Amino acid sequence: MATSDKPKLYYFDGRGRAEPIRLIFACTGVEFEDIRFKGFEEWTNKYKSESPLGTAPFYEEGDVKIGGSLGIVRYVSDKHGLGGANPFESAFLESLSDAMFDLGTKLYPFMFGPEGEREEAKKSFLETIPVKLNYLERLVKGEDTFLDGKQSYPDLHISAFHMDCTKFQVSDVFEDCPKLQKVIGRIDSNVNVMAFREKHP
Amino acid sequence: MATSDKPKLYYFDGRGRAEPIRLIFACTGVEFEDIRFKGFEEWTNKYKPESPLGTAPFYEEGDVKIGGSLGILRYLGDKHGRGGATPLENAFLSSLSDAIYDYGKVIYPFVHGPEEKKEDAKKEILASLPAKLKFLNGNVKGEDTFLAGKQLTYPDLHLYVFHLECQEAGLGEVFKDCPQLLKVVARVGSCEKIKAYYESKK
Repeated sequence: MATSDKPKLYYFDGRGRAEPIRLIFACTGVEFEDIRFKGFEEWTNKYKSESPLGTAPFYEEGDVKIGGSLGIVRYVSDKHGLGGANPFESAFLESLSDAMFDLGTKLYPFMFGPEGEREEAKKSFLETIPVKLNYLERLVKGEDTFLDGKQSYPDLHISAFHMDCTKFQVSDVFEDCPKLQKVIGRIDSNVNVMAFREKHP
Repeated sequence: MATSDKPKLYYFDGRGRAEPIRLIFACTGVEFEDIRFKGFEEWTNKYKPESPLGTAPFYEEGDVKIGGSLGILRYLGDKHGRGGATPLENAFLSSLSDAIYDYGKVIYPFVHGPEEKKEDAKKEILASLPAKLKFLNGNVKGEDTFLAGKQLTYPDLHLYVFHLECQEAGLGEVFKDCPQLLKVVARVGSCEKIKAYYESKK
């Protein structure tokens, strides 16, 4: 397959909003071009004006571009067998992923916010996130997968979120969520995911 | 059909995150129970513990509950013929809706924030939102008068509600460089069922 035939994902050189998408490709072994901007300037000066919504990540398949990480996650998951079996199951999976996206947003004030405000932001995160994670914990239907007996993309999304929490020393928020920890453990020990993470820590 | 057979939507008594969902039902004529909490206390004390993710709106069909307005919107959009024809088209539609949701978040500090911060919030909105909306405007191609082409799809309803919120908050000028988006809004607003829905709310 010529390089230009592979789908392309465009994002910064970091996990951020793109990571769940990259993990889908890693986990399913589907090839894609993992395009990473060389710094913020390359985004602003080169790629932003080509993006469909002025946002990153964006995805390109053939001559169609799609913006918005969540829509891309859903589309790529469905295409490669990590989506729902029917519309209602899909809606359930989407609700999980959308919730995880919101949790990811809560990391940002202390990942990227002004230095002086990070301590406060981190405290607030540690206080408020466990309750929200508990709702997700309740919704785990399988032994170590959100769906009973079947892998799906929210499994990857929670693993990506947990990785971010670990890197920023707030993974304690998961301590009362044994089921979520099992879901995460299963993905973290997937050989394809591990190989991918070796290349992009 | 017994009342309990109808799907149920649970939200506060206001437009907010639920309105685009209610408009899908309005414009398709599908019946549903439009459950509105009697105040914040009824949400916190009665409905929140029953909700799937501790958030509102949530949707109930049979014995399954789904949280998150965007997922509900996509599901019902597809179910009732206001979605895309292919998976890639669906991905495109959902990207529009997700973007509009993010624009809604941008105006919240002004619409719902403390009085003393509103002036600054408004300045920030007017500085940042027009450029973002211009990107969205750029996705409406040619003579198409809905976001995705000749047919109304759920992002059109989402845009309509967002425009209404901007208008009522005195932020209509954020659409100044978006003639295509305004055409879409006008087209949605002139749908008989949407007109009738808003008449009935007066």
